[in-house]
Amino acid sequence: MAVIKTEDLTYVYGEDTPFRKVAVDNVNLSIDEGEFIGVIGHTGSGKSTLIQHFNGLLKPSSGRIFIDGEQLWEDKARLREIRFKVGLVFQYPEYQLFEETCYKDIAFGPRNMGLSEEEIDRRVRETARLVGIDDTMLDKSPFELSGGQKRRVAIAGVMAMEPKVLILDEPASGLDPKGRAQILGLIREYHREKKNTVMLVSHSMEDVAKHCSKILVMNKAKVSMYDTPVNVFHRADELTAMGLSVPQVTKVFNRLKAQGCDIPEDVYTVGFGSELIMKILSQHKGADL
Amino acid sequence: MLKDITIGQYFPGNSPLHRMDSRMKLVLTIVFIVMLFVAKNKFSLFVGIVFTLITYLISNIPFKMILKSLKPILPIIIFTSVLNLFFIRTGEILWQWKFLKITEDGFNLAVFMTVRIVCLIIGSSLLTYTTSPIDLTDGIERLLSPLKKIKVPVHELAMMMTIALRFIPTLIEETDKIMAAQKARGADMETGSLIKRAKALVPILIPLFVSSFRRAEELALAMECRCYHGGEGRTRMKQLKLHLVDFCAVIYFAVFFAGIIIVNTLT
Repeated sequence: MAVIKTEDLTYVYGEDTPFRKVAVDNVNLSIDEGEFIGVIGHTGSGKSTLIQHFNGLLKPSSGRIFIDGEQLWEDKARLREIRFKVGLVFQYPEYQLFEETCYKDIAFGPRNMGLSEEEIDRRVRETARLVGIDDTMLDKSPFELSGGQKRRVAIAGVMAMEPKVLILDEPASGLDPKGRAQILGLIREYHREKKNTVMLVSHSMEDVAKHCSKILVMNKAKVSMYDTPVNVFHRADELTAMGLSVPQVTKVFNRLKAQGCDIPEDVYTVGFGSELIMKILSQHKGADL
Repeated sequence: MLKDITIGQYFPGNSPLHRMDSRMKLVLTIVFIVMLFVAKNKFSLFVGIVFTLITYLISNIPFKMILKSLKPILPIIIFTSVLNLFFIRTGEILWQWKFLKITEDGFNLAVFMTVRIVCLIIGSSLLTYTTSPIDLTDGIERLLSPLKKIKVPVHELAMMMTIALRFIPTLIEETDKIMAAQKARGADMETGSLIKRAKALVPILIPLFVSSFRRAEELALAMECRCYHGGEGRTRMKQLKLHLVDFCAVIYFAVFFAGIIIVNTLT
């Protein structure tokens, strides 16, 4: 069953003012449970606005949203309940840390859900382990940690709510390569362990290609593609026209193909690419001998 | 939601009022207030009303904006006119019910005060409508610069005001973001008792303070990198200069001020 479903979802900023702007235009989406979705689109394409609809932070100007089969905004009293099903991690989430200790900060979400103390404790410790925050750090103030650690604590704060869908808005931005790899690795780990749906907004085609099972492409407030990475990156020209691109390794292989090499078109991770080259090289060697 | 709050109600335009020097506008606003209080009867106040109307027409500000500026002071207007209406007991009685009575003098004074306050607000809000906050602080700084002689840190105060104004939109945006983020974690700010709601502000205020301090430090560093060292010997990009329009304004004000005084003495 689709965990998130939208019907003609439209959102307009500044209705009835000279600054009127359609940020999300007639979006019909159906997202299945357990997917790992990459959301790409250039700045201002409506990605952030779209994801804020999924947990009811924004009310659509028109259209409907269903979370887990239940319609958002139908009953305002239920809104908070439904919100717990969709965890949203904003950009630079470390700026929203506020508690005295990391433990309390991670516990903020679960506590708002009204869980028992034991359950809260279990969830905090489990997510802390998942994001690589050890017990000594849990008792520290979040303001004493390094940037990467703060970010992981903040992400843990949302993960601890164990939402059915976890949405992350550029979780790796502003971090060094090691920090990036760590964050993306732990999100992947989370997905593998919990089997929940994950949506990852990113500007890095490499990251999206490496981790995601499906890719959602936003362009000019519309969803222009929602497909597997192979099918999306196959339409390299369209992506370039939107101001996006394909992973660098795909570019290399597309160029090779244009020059007449006999290679498949679905190369979009470095790992697969190097494997392929090794294979071709060994074949050539065999032919030479 | 928070974006709807406008602080510094500047309404861009190109009317003579917009083109005037901000210092001159500040001075003339004070003159205008004095003028309204000099008018002591309804005939001279009428001159004041005409003056306010003409100035408003020159400014090219939509009528809706003027109404908006009157809204917050509506309670004060009602309060003062009710007081005047019931507590002035001289003159012919117009209406009476038990101990409440409205006299002619009371009625006249209530109307008079109301008109005066409304004119006052319209006139002085024209200042903020036609002058950008930055121009305004610039003007204040220049006008107050004689106070430097008695060691008042005028430049620093003006700089503080400018920076504060500059950061209001940034902070509003930041507050919006933090609120959304905490709401996403299930923070409940709309229901519950007053104490509960006040407590719900903690997750918003702490990150906001932290980021404000961070911003302040970054800004201070950036200013120091560009060798900012206070007001001494600082030149300006926008030189304030009096133009023809400013002198015309002085004459325009003088004519009406004289008019009010003449009407005052004649009646």
